[in-house]
Parts: sequence; structure tokens; C-alpha cells
Amino acid sequence: MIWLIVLLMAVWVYLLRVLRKAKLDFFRFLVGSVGAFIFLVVLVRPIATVPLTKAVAATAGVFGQLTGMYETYYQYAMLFIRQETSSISLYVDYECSGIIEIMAFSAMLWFFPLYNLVEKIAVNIVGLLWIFASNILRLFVVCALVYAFGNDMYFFAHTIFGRIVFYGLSILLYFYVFTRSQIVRQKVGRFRYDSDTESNRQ
Amino acid sequence: MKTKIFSIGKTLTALFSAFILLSGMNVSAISTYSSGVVQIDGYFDEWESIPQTDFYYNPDMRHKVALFRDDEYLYLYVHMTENGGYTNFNGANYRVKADGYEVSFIITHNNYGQNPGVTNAVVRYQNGYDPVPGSTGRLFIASKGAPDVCEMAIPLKAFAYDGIWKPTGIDTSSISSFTFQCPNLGNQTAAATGTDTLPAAGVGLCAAAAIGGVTVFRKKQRGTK
Repeated sequence: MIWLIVLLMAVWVYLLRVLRKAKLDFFRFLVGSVGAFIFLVVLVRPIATVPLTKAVAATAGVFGQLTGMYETYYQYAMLFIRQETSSISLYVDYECSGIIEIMAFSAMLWFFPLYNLVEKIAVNIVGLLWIFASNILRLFVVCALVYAFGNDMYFFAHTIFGRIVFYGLSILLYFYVFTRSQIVRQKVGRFRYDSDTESNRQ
Repeated sequence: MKTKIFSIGKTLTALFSAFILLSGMNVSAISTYSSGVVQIDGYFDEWESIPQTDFYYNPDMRHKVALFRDDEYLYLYVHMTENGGYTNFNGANYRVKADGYEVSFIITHNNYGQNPGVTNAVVRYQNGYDPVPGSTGRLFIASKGAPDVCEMAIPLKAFAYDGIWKPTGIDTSSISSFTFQCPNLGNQTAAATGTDTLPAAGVGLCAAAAIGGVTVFRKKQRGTK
């Protein structure tokens, strides 16, 4: 299995070099980000998922303790909401940890041609923290709603409201990292190009 | 220094294509549930570190119930009230909803003479009375006036049938929520569930929003020219 991964990685790197030399930025981004995501899923996910779920549970638990709304059992990646007539254990599982979102964001960022190396490192760290914090906020909101309105609120809190919060914050991140920066730098580019032309004429 | 600008259209098409590809990947096959936490052995000390819920009709006589799950089993713990009166184990009407589909169990044992000690408990489908394949249970019968304690493990595969071999239609490899009720112990409920973010949808939504933002910007830009 490991040989297959190494072989595929070599092919991927070779393909990236070819696309770079051919100046096919579009395909380089496509092949690069998808490939990076796949390798992250295969190589990093098995190592990072469990620590991340525990970190999410532990951090979310701090806010639970501060507000008294829920307890954390981070060794089981579990949040526990206790009420008079019901209780609910929320397992921070793989799909809840935010690792897929973190890996997808990182994979695209590293092959997005707008940033230099230092910027990519900085933006990646900020993005990772942003996704992590958004997930904590999502869990807190879900727990707060369930605590306030009971287990019957869980479906709405988790499936609708929590996801709106998380997706909203994720869209904001993507907007600033990919959309806004693209627009701003394009404007700067045109401005410089026009200025250069003007100065050449004079 | 002149910055090389990537074509917006191509970039966003690439972003969107990448998202579509990523969204289609099977990314659900990894376990994050803690396994090996609960041992069905008649020693109940591990349950002290697992959250418990009070089940009762009379607030002075509260039974302790705990749910725990891993990839293969749903574990259940019942500790009868410490306050006397209703201390003998009652294993009837254990209703478990798995992803909304209810399956009822009944827990039996061979020590109805109430001789103190640990004995095997048998988890059966209440509907049909057949033992649940792969399930295990241990029951501690206490001396008179002291609470009985029971722990059991029910394989997730058990929720594929309702007890008379009628398929429930549940995909037992991906059950995300369990709710436990037992009217013989109290009118409370205990639930255990996951809280996934639906990552594929989230990533797709972000891509759509990124594309939408730039499209609006470009339209406005064209309008001002």
C-alpha cells in the first residue's frame, strides 16, 4: 500500500512539474489541490482525526463549564447535556471534527497562485484556527439550544442552526481568502499596468 | 513587482471542480469512537467516568442509566436506586431508537431467586424473545435492600432487525443516534448522537458563495464600464 502511495505521489509531483513548465496554471491548481487533498486524507487524517476530536471536545467543554450548560468528557470526545427529564451525549466524531474542511481549505490554498510562501503559511494558520473556532462556536450553539429547549430542539439546533453558523463563518473565510483577495489583487494589477503604460507614453 | 494574476473565471471553475471532486469522495470510513472503554465483566468501575442520567418517577428513588457507544456496540448500564424500595433489577421494555427506528429489548437472567452475586444477563428482542446474537450482559444481584447493577453490550448489527426478523432498513454501519427509554424505570430519556458538519455540503456551499461573489463583482464592474 505504501508503495502505491509513494508511486502515486511521484506521478502527482511529476504532473505538477509538467503543468508548471507548460504554464497551465488552471490545471496545475486543479491537479494540485485535489491531489493534495487525497494525500492529506490518506496520510494525515488517520493521525490527526482523534487528537482533533479530543481538542474540539476539550475546547468546547471550556465554554460548557463556564456557562454550566454542559459537561465535557474529552477522553471520549463527548459533550454531555444534562436536563431534568432527558440527557444527551454528543459525540465529536470524525465528520464533526472539522478535519475535512481544514484539509480541503489547506489543499486549495497551497495551490492557489495568488499568495507567496510566507502568505500561504500565515493564511493557512489563520484559516485552520478560524475553522476550529467556528466548529467550537457551532457546538456551543447546538448545546446551548438543546440545554435551553430540550432534546426535541436537537434536530433544528444541529441540522439547521448549527450548520448555518458554521457554513456562514466558513463562507466568510473563503470570501476573504479566495474571492476578495482575487478581486483586490486584480484591481492592483490593472492599476499598475495602466500606470506603467502611462509613464511609458510620457 | 508585478503580480501574476490568475484568471478569475478559470480559478473559480477550478475551485468549483475541485469541490465537486472532493465532495464525491468517500470520507466517512474512519473511527473516532473510543473502543475498549467498557468491558462486560461484572466490574462496573469504568462506568464512573461515563455520564449518567437519572431515571425515576419518584425523585427520591432515582435509577442511574448510562449509554456509551463505539463502532460495534451500544453499551448500557443500569444502576437501580440506592434509596431502597425499588432496588431489584427490572429488564423489561428497554426501548432503543436507532436513527429514529425503535427496537425493544428485554433483559433476562437465571437468578430470580435473588442470590447475591454476579450472573449472566441475556439481551433478547422483546418482540419474539430471541436472544440478540453477539450481545453480552452481566448482572450484579445485591443483597436485600441494596441496588442491583447491570451492564450490557448490544451489537449495532442487532438494529438491522426488530426481533421477528423483519428488517428495519437501518444501515447499521453508520448509525448516528441512539435514544433510550424505559417506562419501567422512569419517563426520562438518554440519547447519544453524533454532530457531523456535513462537510461535503459545507465545502460545496463555500465554493458556490465564492463564485457568486466574484460573478456579482464582475457584473457590477461591467455595468460601470
